[in-house]
Amino acid sequence: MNLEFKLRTISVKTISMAIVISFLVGGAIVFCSGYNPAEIYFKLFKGALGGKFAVASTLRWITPLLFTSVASAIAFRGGMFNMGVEGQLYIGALAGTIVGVTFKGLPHLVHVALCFTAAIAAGMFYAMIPALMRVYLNASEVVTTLMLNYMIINFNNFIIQEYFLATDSMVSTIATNELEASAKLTSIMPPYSVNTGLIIGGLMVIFFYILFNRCQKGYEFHISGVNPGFARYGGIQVDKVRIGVMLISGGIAGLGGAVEIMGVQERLMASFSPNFGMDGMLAALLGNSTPLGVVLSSVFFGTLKAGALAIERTTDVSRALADVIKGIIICFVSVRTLGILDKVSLKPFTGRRIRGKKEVNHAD
Amino acid sequence: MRRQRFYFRIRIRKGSKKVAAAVEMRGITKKFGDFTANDNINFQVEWAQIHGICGENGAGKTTLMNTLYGLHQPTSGTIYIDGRQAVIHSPKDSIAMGIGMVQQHFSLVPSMTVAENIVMGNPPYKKNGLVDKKKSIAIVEEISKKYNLAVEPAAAVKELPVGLQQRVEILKALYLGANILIMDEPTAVLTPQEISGLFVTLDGLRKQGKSVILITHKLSEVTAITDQITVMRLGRVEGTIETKKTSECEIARMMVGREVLMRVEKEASVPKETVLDVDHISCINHQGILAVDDVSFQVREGEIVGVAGVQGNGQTELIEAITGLKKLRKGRIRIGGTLLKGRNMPRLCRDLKIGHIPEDRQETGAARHASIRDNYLLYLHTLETFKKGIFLDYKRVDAACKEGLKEYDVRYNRIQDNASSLSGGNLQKLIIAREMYTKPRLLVAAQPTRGVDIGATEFIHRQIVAHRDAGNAVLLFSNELSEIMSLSDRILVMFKGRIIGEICQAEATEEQLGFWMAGIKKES
Repeated sequence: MNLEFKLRTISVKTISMAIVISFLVGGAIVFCSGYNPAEIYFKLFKGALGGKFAVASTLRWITPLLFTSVASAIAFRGGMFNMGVEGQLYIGALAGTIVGVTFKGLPHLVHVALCFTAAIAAGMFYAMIPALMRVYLNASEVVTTLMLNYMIINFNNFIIQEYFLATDSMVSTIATNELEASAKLTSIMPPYSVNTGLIIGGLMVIFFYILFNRCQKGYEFHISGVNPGFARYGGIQVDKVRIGVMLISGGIAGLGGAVEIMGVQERLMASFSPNFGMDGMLAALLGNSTPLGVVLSSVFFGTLKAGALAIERTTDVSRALADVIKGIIICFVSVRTLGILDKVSLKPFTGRRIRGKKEVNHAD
Repeated sequence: MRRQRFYFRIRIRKGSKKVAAAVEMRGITKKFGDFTANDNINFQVEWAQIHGICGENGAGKTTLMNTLYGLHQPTSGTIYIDGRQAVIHSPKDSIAMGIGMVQQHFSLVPSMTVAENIVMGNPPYKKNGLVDKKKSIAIVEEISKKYNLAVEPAAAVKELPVGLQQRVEILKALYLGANILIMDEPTAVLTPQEISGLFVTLDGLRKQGKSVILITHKLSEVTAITDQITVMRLGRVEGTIETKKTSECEIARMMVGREVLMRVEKEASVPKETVLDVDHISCINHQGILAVDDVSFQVREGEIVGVAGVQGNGQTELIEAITGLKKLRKGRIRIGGTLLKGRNMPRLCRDLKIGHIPEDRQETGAARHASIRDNYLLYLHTLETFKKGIFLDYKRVDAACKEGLKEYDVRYNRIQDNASSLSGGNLQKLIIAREMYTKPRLLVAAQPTRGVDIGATEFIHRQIVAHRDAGNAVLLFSNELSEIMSLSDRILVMFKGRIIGEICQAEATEEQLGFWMAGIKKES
């Protein structure tokens, strides 16, 4: 079995066409259910970008995606297909919450720093398991990280139920008590839930950029990711790189989980994440795992999410429309190896032919 | 298919007034995207001749032959087979017209028998629909007798030496009715003795009235066997000449477009201290089979030691062992007195100043999906010159990269482009430039000029000799015997994981080395 994960770049053309097609298909589904697609899409974008509330909602959904997409992208770039960002997010949220509800009377900054440290450590620990399994047992990290996600989601429920079940108002669901006030993140756009986590997310993107474009370690990560054999030949210890990128990736994912709880939800509930991890992975793939690409795709998915919630509030169309659009994008982007979208000529629309993938030249 | 063969025989026997050419390609142009691989090619092969196609890498030889065999469709131009216009959409069409091709990499099923492999394209069936094995053996015996190509029909292909596997490929093409046989670099994997055997075979086919098209870049071979030679350069035909009326130098000049120095000029070596001491090492290959078996030798400063041998006799594993990429089963390796051991052996080797030009430049020597700059930077990123704390000083890196690439004449667009944008020869020059940056005390050069054109080969050879003259050791591995013989000061021959012979350059003959390469140790 070939365990080497190869990251391929997706052309801007493929991405934009995938987005356009998915919106068309989504529109067709809306039309078939008896609604006016134009109106629904208008409401979607208005709900995401029209007005202060809408923008705040979009920013709120972008925040966790920044963490999970940077986490995924760093792992991908280092040659590890970390499918476990969701799980690392959960354990980070759990660790952050435990620190957030247990310690009392700490100054705000100290408490937040403690929560963050716990979350990062927990995320790193949880990412280290599949990394070690990959390095020492040659177990595919795609499988192990994915499996560990299910474990932690249930483990999370167990811990809440057994040790931290809410004693205040929220007794009807599996949830912890509200965090201490000192552990909550400050809103940067009161009264909305956009918080300082967005800034930290931005810092993660900058960290990602500096790591891969300036640092010596980042160079080693990059080379190990594109060609492990070449890296080994050059004296880079690929196994160390693999563990390293997984630790960084897990740490950032864990931090993202804590930020989500500390900034928005304020208490940890069972199944609190609407698939932030998988969305982040998709954002990383769509953004070609580059810092700029990751930001753009996180913004795109955040907008889509906020818009979908808005249309659910204002119309009868389900927010699952956003999932349909995402799903179709995934389909087109993942069949990119077949080059379907690259072969499509845009001539009728642009007036000039955009050349597709070149035929491979087998000369000699 | 059969009818056509019959038709062709009649024409030859009757010796009709003017026999049409076996193959004629008129105005063939083949484009890959913006790149023109073949530009308005006119090419003709007569019946009962061996026709050589020479040219540097990327000259378009293989593309032209793939077009003839139906693997590509020409962008424009027409093909005539035996005087009639042919439309070839796929190899199926070309086989039906009597064209056979023996690819550089054989397409045989190793676990099946010779007979099964030969009849595979069109096997004889029994009434119950199964392949008639007895009949296939009979068929193989018959054609092997007819063309005087002895094979053992019941032997498994994997047990055969490479030379015989090639013979099976040729028989396979003949069984399918090939009158025109295309051979793509057939001598690359053969020993000198096997090469002369192949030439006897090809000569026999010529006598039977068949045409052979021989793609090669080895000039000595092309002048030895062919009747006519077509030289290609940069996708165009530079000229077609009769072999009798030309010389190796002239062909080389046509291929490169300028005068070429055929010999490597160098002074006698002055070996000094031992740099590499390989002491009774053994290691296994990736299949777990003993590949290097109790090998010992030394390489000293100021000498080039060449390791000859047919591919797959343990050279790859030996290279990996010396450069720290492979663990040793037994024995030890010392570099300048320091024992090789530790967790990160490749790094240790590099810190001890071993440069390594790897055999597989696409997978090991470079990362095609990384930028040219990042390819140049490998290992150099650990040097203090390019470090700024935990950061890399990319300004200095860029400057050094540009300078190095300029010195080694690497043609590129921008250093940010992916390495996959470089041609094979340029990529090889980039690898050599990088490995030479640290001025290694020992340069392990494996197939340094494989797939590199004559001009670049000349350049690389000069660099290697200059590196030796600067007082460094060079360990050269090559499948090209001529390269080993012209560059090395001392030659080792590997056979089945052992060093079977050692000889100094002055005393080495191609014949002696050939015997060793075939595993024959003559006591004299």
